[in-house]
Amino acid sequence: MDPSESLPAIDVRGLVRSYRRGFFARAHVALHGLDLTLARGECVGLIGPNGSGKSTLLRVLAALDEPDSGQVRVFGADPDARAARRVTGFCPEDSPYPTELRARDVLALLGSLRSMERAACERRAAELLERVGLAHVARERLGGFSRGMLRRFCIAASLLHEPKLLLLDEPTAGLDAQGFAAIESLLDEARARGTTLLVSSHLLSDLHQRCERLVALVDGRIVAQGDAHTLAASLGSAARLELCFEGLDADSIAELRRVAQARGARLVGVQPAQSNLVELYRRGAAARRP
Amino acid sequence: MNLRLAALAVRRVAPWWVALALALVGVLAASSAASSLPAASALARQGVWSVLALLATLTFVPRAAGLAARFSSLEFGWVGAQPLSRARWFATCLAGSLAAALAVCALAATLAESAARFDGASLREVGLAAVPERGVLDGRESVRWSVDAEAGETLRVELSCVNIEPTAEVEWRARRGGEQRRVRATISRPQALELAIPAGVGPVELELERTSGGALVVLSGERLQRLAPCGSSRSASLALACHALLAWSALMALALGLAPWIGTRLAGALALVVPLAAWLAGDEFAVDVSPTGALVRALEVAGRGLVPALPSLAEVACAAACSAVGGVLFVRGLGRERGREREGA
Repeated sequence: MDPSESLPAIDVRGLVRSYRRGFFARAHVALHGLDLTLARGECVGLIGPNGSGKSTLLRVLAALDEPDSGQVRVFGADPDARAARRVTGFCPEDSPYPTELRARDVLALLGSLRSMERAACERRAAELLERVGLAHVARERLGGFSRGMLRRFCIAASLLHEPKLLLLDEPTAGLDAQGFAAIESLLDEARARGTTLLVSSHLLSDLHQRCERLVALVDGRIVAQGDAHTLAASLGSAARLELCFEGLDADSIAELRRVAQARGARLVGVQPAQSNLVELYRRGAAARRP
Repeated sequence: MNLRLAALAVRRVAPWWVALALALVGVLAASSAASSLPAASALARQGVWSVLALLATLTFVPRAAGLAARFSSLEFGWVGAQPLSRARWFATCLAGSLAAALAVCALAATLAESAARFDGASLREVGLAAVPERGVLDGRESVRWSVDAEAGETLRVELSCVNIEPTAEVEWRARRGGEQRRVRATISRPQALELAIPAGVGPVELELERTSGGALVVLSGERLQRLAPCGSSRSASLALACHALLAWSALMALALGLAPWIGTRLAGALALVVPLAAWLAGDEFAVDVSPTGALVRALEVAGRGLVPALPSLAEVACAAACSAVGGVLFVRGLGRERGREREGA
């Protein structure tokens, strides 16, 4: 076995990254000596408020930011090494792609930069655009895309070369329910292929179902990590749980509320699940078909 | 070389509206200067090339800077994550920019040669030789000097006269071995004398003498041109294209390299001003070696009805050095982007 096969997908030790917000201003430390390891094939969610250092960490791992100090390894290599860049896919928070190019041309460019075979790249690009619901605008320029469309496009672009490590920065921000479902299915497939995923979000609901481990970042420090239940348990009685039911009527909900009260808990809210919207879209699309 | 990235560079350096504007201006310049007389044809060729070379330089160099600035700032999110090495990224961007420049060369050559309808035999500049420091002929004594030149070549010197009296007669002699050639002319305005080199080997002894008349005759050119026969004056466009491509490769490489450090406008301006300053300084060496200086000189030569010399090794080396400097700056500039101070985290 290749010795590098036993190396973790991500190994970060003592990572420090600081920024200066103005020439005379004091440096703002975005990451304070961060330690983080991801095993191959693991899916980890980064949660934290705005400015907690999630994007910085992802940018360092994607070779777009240089650490001030500390050691960062992606499959045993420096993130800036070509070997690491070749197997990493990064979906930034805002689309950086050339707005004057058509969607399929950008994917063709990215494929050629990654030395993908032309026919295979075209097939994969067409498939991804279809999956994220952008096949009908494949010949349109990115400059005309909405924020949600750009988000979907960025995710498709990051998956084009079937990376071994996928870094997603707020992948669901600005997505509608249909886009959300499409992205979920693409990420499930990536996971099934053994892709290691590091996903940042400030919404726990985006992550807890998919990620084996959640890492909570606050002010550039890891304040908690573990699965969703462990994190919730650490909050004690202040923890909230979300349950998802099918086929409940108003009486059943009232009954649930009573049971919760009897156990010293409180049913905080009842609202339709987001997946209902996906089903609505699906039925609407089916009804339009001849 | 990544063709798709090069195509993106072409598209950004020469978008369709820039290409259309250049074509329109070139057509206008060519149609207004068209002529079948030898001297007017040379001026038409010089005019079309000058207009297009100037416009393309002023357009392409800042746009090349813009290309690098976009890659290193707004679009670094996708550029920085690609496995293509930064040196290859630079080479591809430069190649794309030069492809746009090559298209302008093809356009300029086509339009210039359609305007210059005289396509007879001409003389090609094959080298330059020194002229004596004492460049004034006052009738008291002749000016003598020697140069190395091949048999079959023609020497060309530029003379003018200071009009105390309206004209002066001059005789220019060339001697090698036992053979001598001479040419006589009446000088009343700036004009060139051409003299065929005698057969034989060894240096050619030259003597220039004012034989009559009262005007002072001045050697106005700084150097003597060595010319060889050339089948068609149309080869001037090929030489001009070579000089233009070298000049553009140096300027665009510098613009690409400077932009990640100092931004689009400053990089474009600096890449344009540095060679301009070298040219304005008038230093002979700077003009010969700098690709922009050599391009301007080649345009002057073409305007005299001659075929300019192909780029010298020094000129090629200077363009290569500028490209290398631009490449190093570009690679380090993109690398520096990773350490840039960034707002927010």
